[in-house]
Parts: sequence; structure tokens; C-alpha cells
Amino acid sequence: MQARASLCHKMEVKLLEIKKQKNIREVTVTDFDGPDLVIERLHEMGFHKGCVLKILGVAPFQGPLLIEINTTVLALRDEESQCLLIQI
Amino acid sequence: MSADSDLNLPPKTSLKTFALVGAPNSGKTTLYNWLTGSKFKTVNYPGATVEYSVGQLASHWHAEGQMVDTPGVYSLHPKSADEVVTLKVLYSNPKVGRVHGVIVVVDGTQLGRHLLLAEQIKETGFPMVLAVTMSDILRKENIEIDMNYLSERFGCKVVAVDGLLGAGIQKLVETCDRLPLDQCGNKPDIWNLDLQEKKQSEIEKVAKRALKNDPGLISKMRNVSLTTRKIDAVLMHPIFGLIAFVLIMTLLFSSIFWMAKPFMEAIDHSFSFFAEQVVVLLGENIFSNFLGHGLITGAGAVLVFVPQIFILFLGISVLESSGYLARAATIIDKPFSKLGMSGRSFVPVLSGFACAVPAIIASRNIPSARDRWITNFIIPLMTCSARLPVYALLLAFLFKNESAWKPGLVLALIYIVSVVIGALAAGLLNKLLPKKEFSFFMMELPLYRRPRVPVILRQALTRTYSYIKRAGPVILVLSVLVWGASNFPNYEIKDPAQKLEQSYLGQVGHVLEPIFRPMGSDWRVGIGLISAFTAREVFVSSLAIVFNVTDNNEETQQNSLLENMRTATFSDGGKVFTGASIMALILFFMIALQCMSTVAISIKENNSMKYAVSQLVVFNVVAYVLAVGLFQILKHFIS
Repeated sequence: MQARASLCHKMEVKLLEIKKQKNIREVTVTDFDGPDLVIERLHEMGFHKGCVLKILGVAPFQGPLLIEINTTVLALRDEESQCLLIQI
Repeated sequence: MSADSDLNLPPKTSLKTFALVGAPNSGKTTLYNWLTGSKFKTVNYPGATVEYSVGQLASHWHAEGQMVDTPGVYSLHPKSADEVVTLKVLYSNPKVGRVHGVIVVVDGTQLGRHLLLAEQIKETGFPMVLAVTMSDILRKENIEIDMNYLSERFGCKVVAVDGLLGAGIQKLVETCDRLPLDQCGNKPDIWNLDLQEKKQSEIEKVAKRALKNDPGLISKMRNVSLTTRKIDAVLMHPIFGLIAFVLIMTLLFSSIFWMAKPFMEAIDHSFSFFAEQVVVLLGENIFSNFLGHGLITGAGAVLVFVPQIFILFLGISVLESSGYLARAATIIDKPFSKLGMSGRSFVPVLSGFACAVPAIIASRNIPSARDRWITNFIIPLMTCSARLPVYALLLAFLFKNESAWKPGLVLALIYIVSVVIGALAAGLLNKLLPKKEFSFFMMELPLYRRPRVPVILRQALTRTYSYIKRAGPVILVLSVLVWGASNFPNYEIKDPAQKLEQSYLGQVGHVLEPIFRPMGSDWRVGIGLISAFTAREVFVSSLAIVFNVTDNNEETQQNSLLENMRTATFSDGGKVFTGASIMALILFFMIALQCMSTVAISIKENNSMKYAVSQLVVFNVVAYVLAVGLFQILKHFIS
């Protein structure tokens, strides 16, 4: 698991890692890591440091990760969800 | 819907022009529909395939103004073809003139996300009004928005509108009417990532304050999406979701066949009848023949697809407005992404089974140019309905006096193989094409909403009209050319088979016979194959002419044709139609791009003659080579 130590000693992982863990329901965005264009679009879609995401599940065929931000449900591909660093 | 000509829009400078700008699913198009009623037209930004709609304010609002509905955007820093068009509409729009003001459409249940765009537009200095949609949902959950605060924060008037009943629209019109419109908008500043992060956090706080820091807000907002979450628990479930997906798509695409069939037949019969009547009324002469069998039949070739296109787009509009289309794209995204496409490619590809023409038009909402390119390239490989009469004839030849399940099974196999060929072609293109841009998916799954009938009807009509406008003239011209080539130079010959043989088309068939021969076909089949470029099903009627079938009854015509096919021989006495040559023909039809309507729409939609010509050459050469290969192998085993 790609992780890095955070100030509060909790695990900081890429959102993509959540796909494998079925019991996690809520995470907080801590940072962004990836191409600028993707990060920019993530911001435009409403992501920012400190925002809370609800993990709703994974689309059929192990497809995009389904997450809820505020009341919006978004589907993120693996390439997109690995640009979000989160704290569980 | 009104055509360009009957709109009689005043000169573009005399009307105040307002652009509706908002995120996808913000309720922008519903609002536009309320504002303009039926007075609108769709236009293309020059050089772009993405369309936007321009309309005058409906007369019952007692105000004058021109409204422009732009493609949904998340920011003024465009990342897809749609978003580029929105930006161009705002700043350099030769078709509607200067945009005087912007109506920023924000979803009241998504303030934290949608106000970021409002902030960007505010920075440009455009005179603006904030239209807060979904006010019906907010009212239902007792969620109040502090309009005064928003008005103060964004320095503009804020109006709540209800897309369902139209409340607030009159106020919005009056607000726009009083807007000082002397200021031009500046180009947007591109925010760097740090600034964007800062802005997003700030907007989040603005949204919270606008919602009056309601302590019960979270639970109220969750109530807003409660029904959607319940439905999604089934429709996005890894197993039940797939079952529902298959059922919904089967319903949509089977309806394209059964619902459109009577209308298509009616159009076909009407135009045939009309063409015959013209010849009868004006007498048998070159002019009446040109008018009837050239021009009117050509117009019929354009309009015969209209029912299928309308039903397909009506279905897509229903799925889009209800919120399911985004979910369908999400469900199928993974397998499609392996082939270099995205979930958004699914509907266009599946539509290709009805007709490639609307399917290619439906690919417009794929934001990535590369994904759209691959999708449009493989669409003609799907078994469209025009191939069915051809397969029906060829399979009837192969399975004479045998039980119906055998040709049925082979037909199913043809469909499956066409999907496999399409997947292989897409996979190959994915490997060969360089990836110049990041292909976004990031799909927003909107709340489920009951579609509004006027909105979906308008969308379906607009897209259907777009097909007629784009493909119609090309199909008509090509139809007339084929008519000319099959009637001249010996127009005066009475016998249709003899006339066709001696026509330019027939001469081409004879010249090309050495090419058709290796795939087991003679010049007559060659004529059928060339004629099939007007529409694939023309292959059958061309064979009927060239094999001198005079029977006009469709049922018995096929039997007569089959009999003549069985006895047809080459000059050396060998049979033209054998199991091997029929199978080679089926394979040829599966791959070859013989439909000029598809070529015409491919040129228009991809804005590239080179793309369409490459597609035409590659598909036909590959089809020919494989058909020849198959025939050369099979002729040793099947007679």
C-alpha cells in the first residue's frame, strides 16, 4: 500500500486503495497527487483538502469507484481516484 | 421546433443576448426550455461539431431577448470540446453577436460545487444573474437559501426557479430585462492549483452561509438524495445493476426496431407511391424519371431513417433527463476503457445496431476526442438494420427448406462476430493511436428526476432535425448520382435489366468483375455491391433488377430471385452463388462500409474528409481481402 506518514499519525493513502477495502465508509481528502489537469478537474468537481467523502461502492465489472461528496454522487476511474490522497 | 428560416430572428445586434451557463445537470436546459418555449434553433459553432441552442424569449414573458443555451461546464478553463464551445459562445460568437449578460445556473442542492463557476464568471465582469434551480426540492425539505447574502456576495441579482412548475421564471426575465448591459466580459483568469484550492474552500463556506448554517442541513440534504440512493442500491449493484442495465438497454434498442418499423414502412411506401405517381402524371420521360426515381426516391432515402433516429434520441433523452444515462455509462466504463473508449461510448455503439447515422451523432457527448474518434470508427461495424434484408436473402439461399432455427442461429452468430470484430478494431486502434490527452471520466450521477415531456421532445426533435440538415443534402446528391449512373448512357432501353447492364454502373460492374471474381462474385453481384452504397438494402433490389425478377410482390419476389440466383452461372458455366460465395458475401457485408449516409455523417461529425475516406478505404479493403480469403478456402469444401 502506498502510504505516507501524516502529521496526525494516521494512514494517508490514495483513494484507489479503498476499492479493495469493503468496510471503509468515510474518508477525508488530505492532498492531491497527479497530473495538474486532473487535479484541476477534481477541484472543479468540488474536491478540496479537508472535504469528507462517503464511499458508496464500486460499479459493476470492478469499474469506477462510487463516492458521495456533499449530496452528489460521483464515479471516479482508477486513474482519477489515485490522484486523491485521503485519510481513513 | 422552428427551422432557421421561419424564426425570423431580428438582426443580432438589436436584441439583448443572454447566455445560460452552468454545470452539467444544473437544470440549465429545462430553464432554457421555459424561457424560449418553441422559438429556438440549434446552431453549430463554426468549425465545431458541438451544437448549442439559440432562441428568443417566449412572447408570454412580455420581454425581448435572445437566449443561448450552452453546453454544461464546470469551469471557464475548458477541458473538452463541449466546454471550448461554451467559452467561444461567450467571447467570440459570430452567429449570435455579443453576449450582453450571463445567467449562471446553479443547482440549489449543489451550491458548494456550482458556485465556483459563478465566482469565475463574476471575475470576468460579465453582467450576471444567478438562477438557483431545484427550488422545488429545497422547498420540499424545508431548506432555505439566503438569497440576499448570495446577492451581496456575488454582486448580482439572485432568483430561485422551479424547473418543474416554472415558478420564478417571470422574475428571472424581469431581472434580466433590468440588467445594466453596457459592460463587456473580460477573458477569465486561469487559477493555479493553490488558488483553486483556496477558492473551493471559500466557496464551500459561502454555500454553508447561504444555507444559513442550518444545523439540520446534513440530514435534510441526505433526505434530498434518499430516493436516489435507494434506487441506486439496486441499479448500481454489481449484479442487479447489470441485470437492470441489460433490461433497460434491450427495451430501448428493441423499441428502435419495432416502434420505428411501421413509420419507416409508411415513409418508404409514400415516397415510392409519390415517385410512381409523378412518373404517371408527367408521362414516361427523362424529366419525370429524374424527378420520381432520382429526386423523390433520394429524399425518401434521407427521411426513411427519421423514425429510428427520433425514437433513439427520444429514448436517450428520457434516460438522460431521468439521470440513468450517466449511470449506464458508469456501469459499462471498465470494459469499454480496455478498448480505448469510455462508458459514454456505449450508447453510440449500441445505437449502431439500429443505424450508424444517429449512432455517430450520439457520440457528440464523449468529451475526449480520442475516445470519440475510436467510437465513431467502429460504429459502422455494428450490424445495422439495413444489413438485415441482405442477410435474410443470403441466409434464405443457404438454408433452403430447412427449419428456421438454423438461419436464426447463424444470424445471431453474425451479430456476435460483428461485436467481436468491433472490439478487436477498437483494441487495435487503442494500441496504435498515441494518447495525447488525459481521458476524463469523472462522471456525476445526478439525482433521479421525472423527465419533462416538452424538454425530451425538444431534445429529440433538435437532434433529428440536425440529422436531416447535416446528412440530408449529401445523401440526396449521391442518390441522384447513382440514379444517373444506373440510367445513362442508354436511357431509352426499355428492359430494366438490359438498361442496368449497359449503364455506367453496369459498365463499372463489368470492368470490376476481375476484382469481384476472387470472392466468388460476377459483375451482377458487383453492381449490387456498388448500388448498396446508396443504402445496403438496395443490394437486394439491385439483384432483383439485374436477375430480371419482374415480380412486384415482396413475398414472392424473394423466391423468384432465389430461384434465379440458384441457376445463375459464370460464362464458363460454373455456378455464381455457392455456399462459399454466399458466406464470403456475408463476411463482406459485415465489415464493408457501403453506406453513403454513414460516410456523409462521418465527414460532418468528425470535421474531416480524411477520417471518413480512411474509414471507407480501410473497411472496404479489409472486407474484400477477408471475403476473398474465406471464399478461396471454403470453395474447396463447400459447393
